[in-house]
Amino acid sequence: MFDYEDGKLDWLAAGLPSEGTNAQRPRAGDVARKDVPTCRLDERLGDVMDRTREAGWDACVVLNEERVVFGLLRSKELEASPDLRIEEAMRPGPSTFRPFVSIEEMAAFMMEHDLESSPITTSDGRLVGLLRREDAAKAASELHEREHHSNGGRT
Amino acid sequence: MTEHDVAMTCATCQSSIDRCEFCEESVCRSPICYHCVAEALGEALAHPHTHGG
Repeated sequence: MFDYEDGKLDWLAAGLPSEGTNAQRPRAGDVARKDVPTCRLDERLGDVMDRTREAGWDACVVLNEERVVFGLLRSKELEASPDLRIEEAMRPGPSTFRPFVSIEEMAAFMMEHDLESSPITTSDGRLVGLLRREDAAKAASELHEREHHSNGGRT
Repeated sequence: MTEHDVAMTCATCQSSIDRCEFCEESVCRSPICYHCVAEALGEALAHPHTHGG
């Protein structure tokens, strides 16, 4: 028998499976894109920008060797001088959110604050993925539609 | 504090903050502090300290 000694929030924050009535509702960790480009502190911005754009992205997450989030390059930071090192160009210590956060809450906050993307991390700061505002809004809208139909049109 | 800094207060608890903890901006129409954003999103976990502190 294995006793998980940390709390329920730590279990959920690690992206581990959950059960119960709310388990089927999409959460930030489910919607966050796992294929987001990543880079290291000592890389050159021009190289990272090329790689990011080639992959069809306008954001890149800066990680250390343990995949802990150190910074974020959104579209504005990617447009800086290509000769800068990543540690000079990045937005350091971005606000990060846990995988279990409700997608509806995240979508509402991201729209209210006009935030284009948010890193989703485990409680020890390791990257789960990047949540894009458009993905969060779409998932929240689909959830709303699904629940509206399952209630026979009642809200 | 310089003349360019703008005093901000959390829209939820009115505590004084340097920047919005959700969007990380020093100019925000509904700034929120770390405690209130964590509570609003159902997060009761502290942000990690990569230096081990």
